[in-house]
Amino acid sequence: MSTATATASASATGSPGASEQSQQRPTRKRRGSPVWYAFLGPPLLLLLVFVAYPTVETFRESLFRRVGTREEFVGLSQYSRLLTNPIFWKALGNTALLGVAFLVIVIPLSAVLASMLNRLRRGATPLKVIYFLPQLTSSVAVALIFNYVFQPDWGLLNGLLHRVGVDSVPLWLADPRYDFTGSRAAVTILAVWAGLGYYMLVVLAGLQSIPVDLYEAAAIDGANAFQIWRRITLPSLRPTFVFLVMTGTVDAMSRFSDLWTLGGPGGAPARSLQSVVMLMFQTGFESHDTSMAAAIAVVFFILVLGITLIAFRALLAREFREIRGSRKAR
Amino acid sequence: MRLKPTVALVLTATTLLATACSDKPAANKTGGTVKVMMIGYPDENGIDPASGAPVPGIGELKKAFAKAHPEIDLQIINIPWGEGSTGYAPKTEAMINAGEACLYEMPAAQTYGRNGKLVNLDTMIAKDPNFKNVWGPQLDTSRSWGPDSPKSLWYLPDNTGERVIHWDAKLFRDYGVEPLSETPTLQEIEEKAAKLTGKDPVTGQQTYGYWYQGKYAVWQFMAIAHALGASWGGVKDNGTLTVNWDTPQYLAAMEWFIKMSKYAPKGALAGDGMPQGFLSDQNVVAIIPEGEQGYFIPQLVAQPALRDRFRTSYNLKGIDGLGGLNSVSPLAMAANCQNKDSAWTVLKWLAGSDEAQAYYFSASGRLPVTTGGVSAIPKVAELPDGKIILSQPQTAEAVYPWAADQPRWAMQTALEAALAGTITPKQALEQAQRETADWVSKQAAGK
Repeated sequence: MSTATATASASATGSPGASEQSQQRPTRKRRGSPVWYAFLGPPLLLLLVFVAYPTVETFRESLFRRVGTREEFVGLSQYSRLLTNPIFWKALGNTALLGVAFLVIVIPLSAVLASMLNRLRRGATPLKVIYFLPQLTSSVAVALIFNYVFQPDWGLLNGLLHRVGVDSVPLWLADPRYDFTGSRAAVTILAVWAGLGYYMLVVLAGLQSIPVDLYEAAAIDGANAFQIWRRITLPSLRPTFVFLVMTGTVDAMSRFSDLWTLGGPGGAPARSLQSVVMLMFQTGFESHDTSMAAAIAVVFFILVLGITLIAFRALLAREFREIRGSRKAR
Repeated sequence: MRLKPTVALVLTATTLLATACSDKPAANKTGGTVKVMMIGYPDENGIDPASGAPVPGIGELKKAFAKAHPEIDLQIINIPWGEGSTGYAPKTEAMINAGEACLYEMPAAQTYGRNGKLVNLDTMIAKDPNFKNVWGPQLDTSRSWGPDSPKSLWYLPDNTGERVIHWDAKLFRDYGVEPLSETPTLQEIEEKAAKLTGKDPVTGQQTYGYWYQGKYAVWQFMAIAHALGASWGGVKDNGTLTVNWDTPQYLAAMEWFIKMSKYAPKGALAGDGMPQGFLSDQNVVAIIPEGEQGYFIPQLVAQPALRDRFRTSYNLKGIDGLGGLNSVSPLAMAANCQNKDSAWTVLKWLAGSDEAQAYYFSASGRLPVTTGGVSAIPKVAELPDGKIILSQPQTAEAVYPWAADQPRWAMQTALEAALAGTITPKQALEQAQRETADWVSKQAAGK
């Protein structure tokens, strides 16, 4: 039986699948038509040229090295050099540390602030705009402003600390040590300031999708505001948090512009702000070792892919179980 | 109208003879379009906000060239220095690989040259009987290794910045300290910086004797080390570098630098330029090494009070009389250039003409590199320290062939750690040596 006949008979019987099939049919018909190709072709071409080709070329280049004017196949030697290079591990450690510090601060903070914002009767919209504004500002511009804020001798923050009587002010961007007032702390504060608005809005959207019935039932049962927040709001926000952790992790791994603006190619001071992407850039474009930069890019690609897959399976395990359960039930 | 064969023959022969005897053989070869990538010049005419002086846009350079060489269509691609992924470095890499221009203002010209992407300009000079060296000995100090010659000439100096020692004459007066000499020694700087650190006896403000640009501290360190007799190494005949950081001279230089950092503001390690308040009444730093003089000349020219207060001395000098970063801006020709004869004409004009030298100064404070270039900017010679400003570039060290490579970052980051006190000077030098040695070992016969 042809598709057209099958659909016609389904419509005639008035079965539930009939309307579904009639909605799908035009889509199937369009598939493979010139119009379909015309719409999909250009973006596919762009993807091939600007994503697929550079990716393949990066993999290829990581297996070669430039010797004078020619390239020489060196197999995996770039990788072995990279994985025994302490600079790479330091950059990777910085990337992980800055990413974890950012997410650990920004997600709880955005949850608290979004919950407070959600309860506001008036003035919520202007506050949302204000919180979101840093997200609309260029990260380079933000970094330049924070360079002034954190300047140890005549910066805004230390100026304020002096005013309130603090004599021994932190060195912020001039301090490469692992502490709460060093360069890593400064860029974490910057990232939280810049990203908080976006995280708040996503959490707010999550909050507003929680059914009101749950809150009403809890109120009838005599739960106080904290219990409601702890027992209803937070668990209901789980998918939102999973989304934020996953996208935030990838963003944190690829952090570049603000760190570059504040720390320069070497991630000053003393490579304390050098992320993996910065190291890749410095190696490729400042030290002109494009083969090693390609090897860093490949390792980084594998790392991000691995983290994403693990996070996907680990954080969404419950959702996968539910989907499998509902399929079995059918 | 048709010419008689005899007349046509005579005309042709005369033309050929005239061409062959001409002292400008290149003239009839040039023409067409030449694209040049330049970095950081103003796109449009404007006015300097600090000095009120007119600032010519890049179009003025193009107009001046068109007057001199109307047969060539010069197209200038003017890009900003930029930051990170939008900086000049990735754009240069992309453009030269794609053959987007014939000539490049190219800070890393030596690296591109050794990778075979540039024309060895000796080949152009060899076939140009009109070539005149207006750059003096800089052409020799600019040479570096290439696949065909260990002394290849990858660029002509276009214009230059310079690194001098600035000092605030008012702070010296307030403390009753003798002015800094024209060619200060390490000992003089150390003694005076110590005296100039503390509460200003006149204003009561906290002042500092010394300054360093944390993110570019490696250049100051190199000047200090050179003054102490250190030598970074050299280039072998096969093009590989030998770099020796871990030596007693570099150790002494780093220890001296760290000692002097105590006289600087605590946050200098995060600095990437002059101290806050420089060229204003708010300045609190007395001796400011590695001052990039060019940027400030328009203000010094425009304001007499400034030029009397903010003075200039030569950078630290070694026993060879040289010292300070050679921050010449190189102009190079791409190997894939299709119009090399015209590009050579453009290159010589952009790097060697008085008009171009005057433009670079007016547009961005860059100083002349040609022997006659000084006459193009007479206002600088009239400054109290005009002689020093104009002659520091000639007494700078030879270009470091590793300046745009891993050894720079190895030393810079190790130095930062030592200045921050997280490692000792000895550990810093060992770390820099280790990282540099790893990079050098990969070079083989060219990186």
